[in-house]
Amino acid sequence: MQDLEVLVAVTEESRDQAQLGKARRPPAPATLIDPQRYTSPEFARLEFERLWSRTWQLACLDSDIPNPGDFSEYVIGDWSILVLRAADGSLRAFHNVCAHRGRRIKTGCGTSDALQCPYHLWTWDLDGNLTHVPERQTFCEFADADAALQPVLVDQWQHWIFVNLDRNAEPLMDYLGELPEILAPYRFDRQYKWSSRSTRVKGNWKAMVDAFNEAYHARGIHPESLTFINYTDYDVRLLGDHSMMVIPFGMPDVESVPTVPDYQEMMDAMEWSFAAFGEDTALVDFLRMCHLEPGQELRELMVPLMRGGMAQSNIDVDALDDSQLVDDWHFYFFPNVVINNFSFGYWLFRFLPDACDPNYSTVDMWYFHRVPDTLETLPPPEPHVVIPQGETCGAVMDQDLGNVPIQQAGLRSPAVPGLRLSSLEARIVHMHDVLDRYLTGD
Amino acid sequence: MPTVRVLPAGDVLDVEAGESLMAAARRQGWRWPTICGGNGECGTCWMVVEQGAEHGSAVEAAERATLAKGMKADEPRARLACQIKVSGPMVVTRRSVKAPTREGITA
Repeated sequence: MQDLEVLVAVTEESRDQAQLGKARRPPAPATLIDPQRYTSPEFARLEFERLWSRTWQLACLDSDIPNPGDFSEYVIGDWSILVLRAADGSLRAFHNVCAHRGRRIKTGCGTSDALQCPYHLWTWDLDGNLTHVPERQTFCEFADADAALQPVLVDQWQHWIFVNLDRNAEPLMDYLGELPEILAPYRFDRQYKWSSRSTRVKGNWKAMVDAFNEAYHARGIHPESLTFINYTDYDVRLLGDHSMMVIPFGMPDVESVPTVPDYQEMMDAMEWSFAAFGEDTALVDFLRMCHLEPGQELRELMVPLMRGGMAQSNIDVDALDDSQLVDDWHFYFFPNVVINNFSFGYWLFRFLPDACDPNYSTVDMWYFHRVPDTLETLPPPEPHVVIPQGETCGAVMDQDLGNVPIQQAGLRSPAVPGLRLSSLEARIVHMHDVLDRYLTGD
Repeated sequence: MPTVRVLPAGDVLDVEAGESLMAAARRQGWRWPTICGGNGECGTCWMVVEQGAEHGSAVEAAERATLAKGMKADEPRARLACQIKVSGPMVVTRRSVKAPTREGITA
């Protein structure tokens, strides 16, 4: 076990890569990433102490708690936070622990006009004020304020509700930086969660984040989609603590696909890949009726078809340029949320560290669709489904979820010299840099 | 020498004893989709055996595992060209395969 100071040390060179804008991708780092960052219980403990205790974290959606009294529990490590809608409609968040004997007061989500601990029925109102203690005269005298629920910072951007355990944290909008402006045209306020799933994975939460923050792995893990997605020629931008990449759709990955793919096979691959996420594949049905002229890229067919199709569905995408319409604009919200963002909706993945074991994490998979502009009220979110570890989460997710546990096993070997990263993986380097800033207290 | 007819183009490939179908295709200047280069890892060289499946070598564990991860997981007739060895006549389908005599591709 190396000294923790060594573990968190990342060189100046990699820090310089945070300076954006000169290149389409920050350069590759000259140094290696210590694999123990993914496997060490000491490192995980440091993350709980210095990262999770003071970073903004996506807790739930406003549509999960639309009405007064609705609550949703967010668990991060040993902390449980209750996010709820107060009587006046505003948001509240509290540490979800009873001031009597420490039991979690609520679990999961639900609706309640008061917060009552099921153990001895101590009760608080939705503002966290203590309202009832059975047989209170049997206790030594104490002030209600000393047994009030402890508030947690809570704020909202679009339909995402964030919490932060650090009462002195920077404002949410400062933390989000440029992301709200870049994402504004996608109209998250017009998107509803049509699927919500989670599963436990043998893999450190950062190994899971990494698996989504580069497209370099596609040739090994998602080879079928190389016929219609260019996983090599993609831009990376670092955005404060966060980052993004734009993965071109509708063109083959010419670096790894040696021959021009057959058009109908390209359609088969596209249909299979989108169906694996439960997406509608009507676009592919239309594309199958087209053909490519020599030298023409698939995306040239996709742009008019997608604009036309969205217009027909009463979804205004005029604010999106052709790249935003067709490509996968992929965003990373440090530390643990990524989204694959499309014109028709987005896929959100949230990775939660295991409280006890750095080799495990839980992945939440939330899938969203834009609804027609003519629809006044958005449909309610679909109920959450927990998928047992190892069972299918859709064929493409299974490719990633099958790979990471084997990587995690490998990372534990003392023979791993360190993770050697390319410019295609610049977002992973950046994540470690930002993480170090938290861990070293800068 | 066994021959394999590749649909829908209908071109015919000669396969020598002991070589994989993909190795035979390469030897004769064909283009057969692959990313891993014929190691049975990527599954990109999949094909569907229409006739003569009994002349193909048995599916081994690695080939089975790769097929199960890919888009032909639900196609029981799918095989990997880089893994199958052929001992008699066979007909397969794979659209993206290009023989050298078509479109002027040379080895």
